Amino acid sequence: MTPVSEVRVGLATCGIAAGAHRVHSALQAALAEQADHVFLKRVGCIGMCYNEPLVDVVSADGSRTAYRHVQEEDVARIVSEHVLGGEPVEELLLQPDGFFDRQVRIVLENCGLIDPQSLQEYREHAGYEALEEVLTQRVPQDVVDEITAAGLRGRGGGGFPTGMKWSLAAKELASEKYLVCNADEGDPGAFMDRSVLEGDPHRVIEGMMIAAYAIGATHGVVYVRAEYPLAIARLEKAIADATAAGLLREHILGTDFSFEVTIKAGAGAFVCGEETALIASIEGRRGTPRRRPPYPSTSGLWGRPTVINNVETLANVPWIIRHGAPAFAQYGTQRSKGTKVFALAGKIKHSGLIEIPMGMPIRDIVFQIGGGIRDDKAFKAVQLGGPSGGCIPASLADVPVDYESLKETGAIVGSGGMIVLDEGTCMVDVAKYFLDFTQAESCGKCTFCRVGTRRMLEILTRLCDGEGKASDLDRLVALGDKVKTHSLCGLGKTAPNPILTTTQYFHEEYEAHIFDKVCPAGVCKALIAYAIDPERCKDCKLCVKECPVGAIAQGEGKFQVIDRSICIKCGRCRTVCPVGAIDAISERGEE
Amino acid sequence: MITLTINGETVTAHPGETILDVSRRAEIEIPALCAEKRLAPFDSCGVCVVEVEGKGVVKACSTPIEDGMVITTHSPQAEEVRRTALELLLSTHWGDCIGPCQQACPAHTDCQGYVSLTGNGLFRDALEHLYEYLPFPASFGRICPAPCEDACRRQIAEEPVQIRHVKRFLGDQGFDYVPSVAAETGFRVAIVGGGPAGLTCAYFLRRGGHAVIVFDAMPKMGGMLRYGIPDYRLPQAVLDREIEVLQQMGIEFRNGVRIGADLSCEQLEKAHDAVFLGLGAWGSGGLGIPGEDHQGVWQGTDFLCRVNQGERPSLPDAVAVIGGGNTAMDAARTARRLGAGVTVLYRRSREQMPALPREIDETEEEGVTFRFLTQPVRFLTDGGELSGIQCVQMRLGKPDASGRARPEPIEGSEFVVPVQGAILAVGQIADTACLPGTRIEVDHRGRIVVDEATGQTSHPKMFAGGDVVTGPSIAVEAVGAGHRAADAIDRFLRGEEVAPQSRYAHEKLNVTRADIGDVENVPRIATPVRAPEERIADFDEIESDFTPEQAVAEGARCLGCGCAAFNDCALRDYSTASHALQEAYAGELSHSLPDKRHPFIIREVGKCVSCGRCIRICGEVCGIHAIDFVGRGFNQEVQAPFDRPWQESACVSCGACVDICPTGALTDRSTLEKQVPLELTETPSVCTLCGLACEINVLSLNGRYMKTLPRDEDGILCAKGRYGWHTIAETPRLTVPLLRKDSQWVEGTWEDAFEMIAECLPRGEDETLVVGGGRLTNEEGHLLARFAREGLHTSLLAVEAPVPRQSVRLPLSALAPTAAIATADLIVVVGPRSRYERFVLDLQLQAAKKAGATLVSLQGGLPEADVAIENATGVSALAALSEPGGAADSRVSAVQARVASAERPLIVVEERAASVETAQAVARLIEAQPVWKVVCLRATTNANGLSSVEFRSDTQGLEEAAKRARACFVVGCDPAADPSFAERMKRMEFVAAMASKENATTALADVILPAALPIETNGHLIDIDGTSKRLSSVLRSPGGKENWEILVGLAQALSLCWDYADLPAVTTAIDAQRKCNVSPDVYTCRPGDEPRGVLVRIEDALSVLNV
Repeated sequence: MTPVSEVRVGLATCGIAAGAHRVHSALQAALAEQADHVFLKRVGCIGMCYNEPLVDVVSADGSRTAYRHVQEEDVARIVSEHVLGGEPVEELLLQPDGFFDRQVRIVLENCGLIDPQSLQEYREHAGYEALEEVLTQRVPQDVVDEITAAGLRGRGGGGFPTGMKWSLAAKELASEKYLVCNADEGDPGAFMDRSVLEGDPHRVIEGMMIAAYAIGATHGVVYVRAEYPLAIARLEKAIADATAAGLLREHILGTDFSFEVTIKAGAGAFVCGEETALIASIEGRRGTPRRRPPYPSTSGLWGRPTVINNVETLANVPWIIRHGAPAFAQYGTQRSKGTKVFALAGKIKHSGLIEIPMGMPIRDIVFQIGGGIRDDKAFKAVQLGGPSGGCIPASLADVPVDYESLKETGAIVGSGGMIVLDEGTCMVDVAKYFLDFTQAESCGKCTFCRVGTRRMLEILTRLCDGEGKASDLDRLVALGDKVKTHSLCGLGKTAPNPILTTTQYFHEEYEAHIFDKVCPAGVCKALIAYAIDPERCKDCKLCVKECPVGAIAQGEGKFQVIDRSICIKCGRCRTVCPVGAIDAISERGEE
Repeated sequence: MITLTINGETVTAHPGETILDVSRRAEIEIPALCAEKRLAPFDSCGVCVVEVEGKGVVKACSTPIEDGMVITTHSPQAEEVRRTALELLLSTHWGDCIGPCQQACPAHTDCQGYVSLTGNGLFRDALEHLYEYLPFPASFGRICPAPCEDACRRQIAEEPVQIRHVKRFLGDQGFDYVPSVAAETGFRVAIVGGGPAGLTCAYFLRRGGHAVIVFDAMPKMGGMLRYGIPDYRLPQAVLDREIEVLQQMGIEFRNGVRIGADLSCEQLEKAHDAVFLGLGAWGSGGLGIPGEDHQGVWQGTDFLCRVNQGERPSLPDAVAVIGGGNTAMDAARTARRLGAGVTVLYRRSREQMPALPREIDETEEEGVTFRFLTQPVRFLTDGGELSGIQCVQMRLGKPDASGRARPEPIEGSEFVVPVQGAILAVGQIADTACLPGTRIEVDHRGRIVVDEATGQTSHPKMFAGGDVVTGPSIAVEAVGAGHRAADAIDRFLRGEEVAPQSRYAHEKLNVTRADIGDVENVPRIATPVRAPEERIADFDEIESDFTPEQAVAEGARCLGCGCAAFNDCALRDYSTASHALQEAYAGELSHSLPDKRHPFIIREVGKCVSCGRCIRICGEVCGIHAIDFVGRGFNQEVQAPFDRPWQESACVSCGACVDICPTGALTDRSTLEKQVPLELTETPSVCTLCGLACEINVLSLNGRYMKTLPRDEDGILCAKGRYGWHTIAETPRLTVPLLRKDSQWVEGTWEDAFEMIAECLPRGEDETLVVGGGRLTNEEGHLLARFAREGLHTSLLAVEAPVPRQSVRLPLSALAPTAAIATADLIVVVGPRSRYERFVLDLQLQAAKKAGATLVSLQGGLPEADVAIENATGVSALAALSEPGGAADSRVSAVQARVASAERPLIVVEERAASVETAQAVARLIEAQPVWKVVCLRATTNANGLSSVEFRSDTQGLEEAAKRARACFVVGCDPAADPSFAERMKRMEFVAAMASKENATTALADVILPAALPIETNGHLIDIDGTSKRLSSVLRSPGGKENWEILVGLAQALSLCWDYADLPAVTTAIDAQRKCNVSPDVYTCRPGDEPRGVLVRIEDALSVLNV
C-alpha cells in the first residue's frame, strides 16, 4: 500500500450543506501531525450530491479512494485505519454505482479534484495553457474558427452557436467591446454554473479571456446572482490571484492583450438572465428586456458590442483550445456537439451534477447514471429546462438529449435542470409549480406575460382546488399559445411550456381534475383524502403519533382509521408509515 | 425605398421603419396602447398586432418593414390576439367607464353628471345636462321608480343618493330652458302616441332638426303620464309645462286623432319619411271570472283616466282593488281620496307585489287595507248591485316562470269580501288593432315586434317603442325606447346604418365598503312628504321639493363612479372595436382608490394598463424622470420615488403624462369642487403667462373655466400654462365698478365710474402716469396709449413697473426666433432658470441637445447642460467668450474651444433674470462676434406687441416724471406691490385702477374698474418671436365688459371722438400703424434687485402668477 499523500474534502455549497465543514475541521485536527506529508485539500463539487459529504483519500501514486456520507465521527477511523494504517474503511467506502461510467467530463474536468482557491493547482492542471497558446500563437479569427469548428452552442439554454456569436461581435468596429459572463443561474433546482464557479473559477476566467481576445474586448463582467456568495468569494479570489500573477489587466503574459474582469452581483430577478435585461441591470437600470435587434453583439453594454456567454459555455472554451475542435466534436450528435452538464434531481436515486455527451437517451441518464427511480416506483416523466422547459413522458424516454430532438417534444435542453418525476407526481401540480415561479418572476412589461401567466396560474390553482370548469383546459392552452408567441423575451415565450407539454402528454390527468374532481397522483389536497389500508397496516401507531391534529384513531379491530372531518391532509402519516399502508384516495370516489 | 402592402394598399417606406411607423404615415389606424409617436418603441402591450403574410401575427410597433411585405391590420387572427391582449388588460382594470346609475337607467340618463353638477351648486348646468337625456325632468323626478338608485353604489356606505328627487328639484327650478334645435333637415317624422315613448322620440328627433308631428287620440298630450298617474303624484300642470317646452321647440301636436279610425297607418306612412308608434298599452286585462262585467266593476286604467280628466265619481263605502302593481296602488289611493274604504286583494304575498315598496307603504299609510294570498273567483250581486267578491285563500308553491312563488288555492278556503264596488288593476294590454295591413309584425299578445336596439319594426320605415312593445312597464323604459328609436330614425333618414354602435362599458364588480375609501357616512336626505291624514283629503301633490341646500348636500353624496376619461380612453375604444369582454379572463385585480394628493393630477392606479407611456414621456421627452415602475410583474405600479406624492418628486406639473395616458389612470382635476365627467367646450386661445405665448385650448362648461390643454395634441405646456389658469379662475374676482366715496367703497355703475374718472383724472400735460400690464393685448395697449395721449395729454407710459428698468439695446439683426434653438450647434443659456418658468423652452433645449448641440449654462438651473458655469452673473464667462484665450477656468476654455468650431452659436438670455452687466456682456459678445444670435426671453408676455403699438416706457426721465405725477391710471398690473411706489401712489391726488381682482394697487385706488382676464379677452399679442397670436374670450368677464370696451367707454366719457364700432376695427387700426414686431431692448432688473427666477416647487411657480 502506497502512503497517502492527499485527503480531499468536497466543500462546495452542497457539501457544506451536508456538513462537510465539520468533517474538514475534524480532518484538520486529526491530520495535524501529518501536515508535512499528507495534504488536506478543499475541493469543489464532484457531482455526487447524494453521497455528500465526500472525502477522497489519494495515494502517492495518484490512486483515489472515495468515502461517502462521512460524518465527523468517521474521521478518526479514516485517519487511523487508512491514512496511517493503509487499510481502507470498508463500510464507509463509496461503492461503484455506475454514476460516472457514462459521463464525459470536460466542463467538470477539475471540479471536485483540484482546490478551486489555488491558482497554482489550476495551472498544474493545464490551467491558462489555452490562454497562453491563443495569445502567443493564434490570431483572434483563428480562435473564433476553432470554436465554430467545435460546434459549441450556448449552454445557457438558447443553444445559439457560440462561434457565430463571437464572429458577429468580432466584426464590429468599436473602441470598446465587452465580454459578459452570464452567471445569473435562476432555474429552481439548477446549480451547474454555481458548481463550476465554486469548483473551478479560473477555468471560467480563462474562458472569458480567450473569448475576449477573440472578439477584441478588453472589459469583462461576471453577472452573478448575489445568492451565490461562495461562488462570488471564490471568483474574487481567483481574479485577485490571476491579477497578481500578471494574468489579468495590462500586457497579459507579456503580450499586448489587456483584459480586466469585474463582478456584478445581481439582485436575483430571474429575468435578468435574459441578455437585454441583464445589460439593463448592469447599467443600473430596471432589469427589463427590450426588443432585439439591435442584438448585444452590435449594441450591448453601454451601447457597445457585447458578447454574453453562459458560465458553462465559457468553461468549455479552454478545453477546446487545448484539445482542438475535433476532440470536442467527437462527442454529441450531428448538430449538438460536446457535452452538457445537468443538475439531476427529483425522484431519482443518484441526484447530483452530471456531464454527459450530447445525444444520450433520457432513459440511460435516468437508469444508468441516475440509478433509477427512488423507492423503485414507476418512472413517469422528466422535466427539462426548468420553468422554461417542458415535461417529457416516460413513453418518450428514448429521445436523445440534444437541442433539436428535445425541441420536437416541446421541452428544451435549457440550462441544465433535469427533474425526474415518478408516478406519485401530479402533472397539473408540476405545471402549477413552475408557472407559479415564472409568473412571480415576470418583469411586468408585456401584457401577455404579466397578466397572462397570472391568469393561467389562477386556472391551474382552480383545477388543483377541484374548481375547474369544462372550458378551462382549452382556455389554458389557447392563452398559453398566445403568451408563448407574443411575449417579448424568453421568460414569457417559454413560461407556458410546462403547461403546454403537460396538457399534451398528460391530457387525461387534467381531465380527471376537471371532470372527475380527482387527482390521480394523489397530490392535490382538495381532491384527495387519506385512508389506511387494513391489509398492509401493521398497527405500529407511528401515524397516530405523527398526526398533528389527532385525526387518526383506533378503528374496529386493530386498524387505525382517519377521521376525514378532522384531517388537514398534511400527508405526514403517509410519509411516516413504514409499510406504505396509507393511500391518497380521491375525495369523492373510493379508489 | 421599400414597397409593401397594407390592407391591400401599396405603401412606400424607408428601410428601418416599423410597420406602425409606416401605417401611421399612411393614415392606416392600428390600435396601440404602449406605442406613441413621440416615444421609442416599448413593445409591451400586445395590442398593435397585425398579420404579416408568411410571418403570422406580429407586433406592428417593433417589426421592421421588409420589401414586399403583405400586411393585414385587422385579420381574424390578429383580431383574436388583440382581443385577448385587451381582455387580459380589462381583467386587471378597476374602474367604471360610466356610473352604475347610468348603466341601470333604461334611458341611459347620466345621473352622475346632473347629480354632481347639482352637488357643485350648478343647478342650471345640471338641468341642461339632464335635458340631454330626458325631456321631462320635473315629471320623472316625481314618478320614476329610479332603477338608478337601486344601482347607486352609495348604498354600500349607507343609502343610495336621492337621484330622483334631485331630478325633480332641477325640473322645478323654473329656468326657462328650451333646448336648441339643429338646422332643419327637411325630413318629416310622424309620431303616433303622445306618451313618454312618443314624446321622447319626438323630442330627440326635433333636436336633430327634423320636422315632427305627434298624433294622439286623447284631448291632451302625455299619455299614461297624464291619464294613468293621479295628480297627487304628478300634477298635470307640471306635465303641461314640460310638454310646452317641446312645443316651443317646434314639435307639432295633433290631439283627438285616432290612428286607424281618423287616419290610417298607410296614409301616415306615405306622408312621412318615418313613423314612430308609441301606442302604449291602454287595453285592460280581465280576471276571466263570473260577474266581471258588472257595472260596479271598474277597469283600473279607465277609472284613473276619468279621475285625471276631472271626474269625481261617487264610490260606494267599501271598494276592493284587485291587483298588486302600481296601477292598483294608484287606483286604491285615488278611491281613498274619493272617500271610499279600500281593500286591496292580491293573490300572492306582500314580498311578491310588483308595486314599488314606497308606493305600497304610502298606500297603507293612507288607510288602505291589504288582503294577501287572496284570489277572487266570483263577483256576487244582490238585487243587481254588487254585494261582494267570493275569494279563495292561496298559498305559495314552487316558483313559476317569473321566478316568483306560484300561488296555489287552498281547497275549501273560500270566503267573501263584502264590497259594493271593485276596481280591476290586473294588467294592461297593448291594443294594436289599428295595424293590420301595415306589414308590421305583432306577437301573440298583440305587442309590436321590434329590433330592441333600434325600435325598427318589420317595416323599415316604421319604428315603435314603449308599452306597445314591452307591455306595461315603467315610464323611463319608454323614454329609453323613444330615445333609441329617435337615434335610429335619424340614422335611417340620413341613409346610415340603422344599428347603433354600442360602446364597451367597464364596471367595477364586487365593490365593498373599503373600495369606496374613507367617505364619511352621510344619511340620505328624506323626501319631504305630507302627512297621510292631510293628503287623502285632496288630490294635491304629496311630496315637496328639496331646498337648494338639501339638493347640494344630496348631490355631494354622489361617489362619482364614472370615469373622467369616459370619452377619451383608448382602452375603451379598442375594447369596443374588438368586442372585448371584461370577464373573459376574470381574476385577481388590485382595488385601488384614487390618489388625489397632487394639486392638479388625479391618479387611479387600478385603471393603469402598464403601458409605461407616462414614465417614458416624463423621462424621454421631458427629461424629468419623476416616475417609474415600482415592483415587478403583476404587482408593478407607476410611482414617484417611495410612493411620495408626485409633486414632491422631480415632477414639474406639465401634465404631459395625463395627456399621453391612454386610459383614465391619469386625469386632470377640473375647477369644480366635485369632479364631473362631462364633455366640455374647447376654445382655442393663447396662454399669456409668459412671453412664449403657447397656444392652448381652454375647456369650459357653459362659460365656466374647467381646464387647459395644449392646442397641439403632441404639445406640452409648463405648470403655469397647464394649471395656472385653474388658480386664476378660482381666485375671487372684482365684479362691479367700485367708487371711493368719503373713504368708503361704494358699488357703482360703469357710467358712474367713467364719470368719476373723467372728472378726477388730471388732464394737464404729463400730470397723469399711465401704467399698463405686460399682458395687455395689442388692442388694449393701443387704446390705452391713445387714451393717455388724447384724453389725458400725458406721455408718461410705463409697462408693468412705473420705475424704469435699465435697458441694453441689442442690434435687431442679432435677434433670433426661438425656432433657432432647434438648429443651433452651441447654445449658451444666460440667466438662472427654473423648470417651472421656462419648461417649454427647456424642452426645445433638450431636443437641440439630442440633435447634437452643446448646451452651456451660465447661471445654473439647466440639468442637461454639457457645461455648467455657475457664475452669479455670467459676466466673466461671456467676456471670456468675446475675448478668446487665457481663461483660467477649464470649463470656460472648453466652451471657447467649442465656439471656434460652432457655426450657429446662440445665446438664450432671460430678460428678467439678467443684470445690467450681464446684458451688456451679451451685447459686447455679439458685437465682437457677429456669428452669435440671441433669443431674448421677455419678462412680460406682450412686451413686443405693446412696443409695436407704441405703448412702451420711455425710460429716459420716466422716474423723475413719475415722482411729479399728480395721478395714476393703472391697467392690468399691480405696481403698488412695490412698497416704494405704493408710497408714491399714496401721495397722488387720484388713482384709477382697472383690475380683475383685488391687489395692492386697488387698495390705494379711488375708483376700480373690474377688468377682464386674458381668457375673457379677444385680441392679439405678439410672442417673443414676433409672431402675432390671437386670444379668444373663452369666458365672459364677470364685470360684463372686455377691457377694450372699458377703454372705449372711458374715451366716450371724455368726449373723445373714437369710431371703433367693434374690436376688429381696433385691430385694423393697429395693423395700419404697427412698426416693428420685435423690440431690440433687453430690460434688466433694476439695479440692486434680486433676480427673480429660480423657483423650486409648484406652489412657487404659481405664486409668480400675478394677474
